[in-house]
Amino acid sequence: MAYKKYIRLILILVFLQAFSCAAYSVEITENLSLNGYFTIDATMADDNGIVLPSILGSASSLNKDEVVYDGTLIGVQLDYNISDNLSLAIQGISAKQSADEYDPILEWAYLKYDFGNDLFLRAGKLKLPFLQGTELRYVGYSRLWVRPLVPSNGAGGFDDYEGIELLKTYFIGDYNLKLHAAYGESDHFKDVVKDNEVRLLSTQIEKDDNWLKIALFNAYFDLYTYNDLIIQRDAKINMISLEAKYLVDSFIFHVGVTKGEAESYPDMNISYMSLGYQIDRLTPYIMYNARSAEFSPVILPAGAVLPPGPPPPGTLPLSADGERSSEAYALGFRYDIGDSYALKIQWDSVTMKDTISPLPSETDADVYTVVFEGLF
Amino acid sequence: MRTFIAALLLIMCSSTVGAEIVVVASLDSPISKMSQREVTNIFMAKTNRNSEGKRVTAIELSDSDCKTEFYKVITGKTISQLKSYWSKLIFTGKGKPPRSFDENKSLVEELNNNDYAVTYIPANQLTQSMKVVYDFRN
Repeated sequence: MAYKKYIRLILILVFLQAFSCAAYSVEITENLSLNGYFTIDATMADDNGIVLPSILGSASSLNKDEVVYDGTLIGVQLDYNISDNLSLAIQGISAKQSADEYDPILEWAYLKYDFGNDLFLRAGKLKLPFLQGTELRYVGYSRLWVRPLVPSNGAGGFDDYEGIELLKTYFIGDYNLKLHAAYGESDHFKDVVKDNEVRLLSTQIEKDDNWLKIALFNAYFDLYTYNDLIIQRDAKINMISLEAKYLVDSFIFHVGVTKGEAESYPDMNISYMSLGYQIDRLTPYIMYNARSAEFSPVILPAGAVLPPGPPPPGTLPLSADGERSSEAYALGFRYDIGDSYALKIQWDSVTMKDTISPLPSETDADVYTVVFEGLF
Repeated sequence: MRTFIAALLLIMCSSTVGAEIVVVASLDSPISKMSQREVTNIFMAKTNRNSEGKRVTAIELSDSDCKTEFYKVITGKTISQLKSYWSKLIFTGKGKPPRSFDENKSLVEELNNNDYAVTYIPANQLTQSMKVVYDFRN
């Protein structure tokens, strides 16, 4: 099995790191450094039919009592300082894509220019910073929970993009105000969405570890049927998200809500809330996470005819009218091992509803997940 | 009871050590003074500029008791919590941790070679080639 080879590689890296002195990164030269992260994931459900967002976006359906390792991945980033103001970063991951394929994927590749005064320009292949977790979906060590609390396919199905972005920070007394503007073209995860243009503006106000973030996302795209007939040109999608993190004593509170409205595409909504309590290296937590996609039938242009039979798997259900939703209550903990590793165990009680299928369904299941994550 | 008192004394001593840290630059550095907010922002990579707009480079030893104390004082974070913080910055390209050195000698060399480099040390390790730009004892 491919995952065994993969896990073996990660274990070798872990042991190598365990015997090396603690460092944040491998400094190859003064201007070239290497950083990496990994996740070993094992997930099991006590019933059939639970669909978890797999780490690379395609839905991962769990079968009763079968252990899956879909979240297992390894990522590496190279940073190179070309000059005092210009730098290059390249990040790639290897994670399960389908069956037992673990081909490497380029996640980030950009040039960054520092104008001074805390203003930066980045250009290249980037990730849309819609929610706090969208840029860090694969870096499990950076979060409290076993899975990211974000849609597996980014904002409205747009995740990474090729374009430019500006980042600016203002320091106002004890507060930092961060502005982030992004513009570019994105590869949508559905082939029927083409020629898109994405824009994002986010602002985050922070004081120490507490922050509040608001992001506005807008995209225009051309929508096609799966047999390549144009349905609508310049269809529009608008999304807004509001997130916050608040620390008081040893309590960590996270909350987030996202609303989306789209033409000829499902409206997507997400909400989450989590409360953790830090006891030295152990952080137990409770969490609530809900997602929904509301479908309306797409009006086909005059004369357009779809091939007979059901649409191919994974394509947009054009005639769908209804909602697909999931709701999860979770209990778990994170335990930090040494300075670079973490063990997390999470139990989810998941309810999934589908009112658009020919046979509406509701599935309840308990999902158990164990992950071992770290940096190297 | 004796064990309890000894443990209490030990905790009090280690707290005192935490307050005995100074942030230093080389004697020739144009940096004369920093606020604690500036120190935090520079060492946590929230900015790479001081209040005069000059690029400041934070440097540190890879591993030291002083490091644990320093970050506890400026952020309240443990080293593992700090790593989680750095992972967010590194892998989104929004910042890097201070450049680290394995040996004190290399750290001091870098401090002397770079006028805009700053580091933190226990106050009792201050030498004549350094000047204090922020003192946690005040």
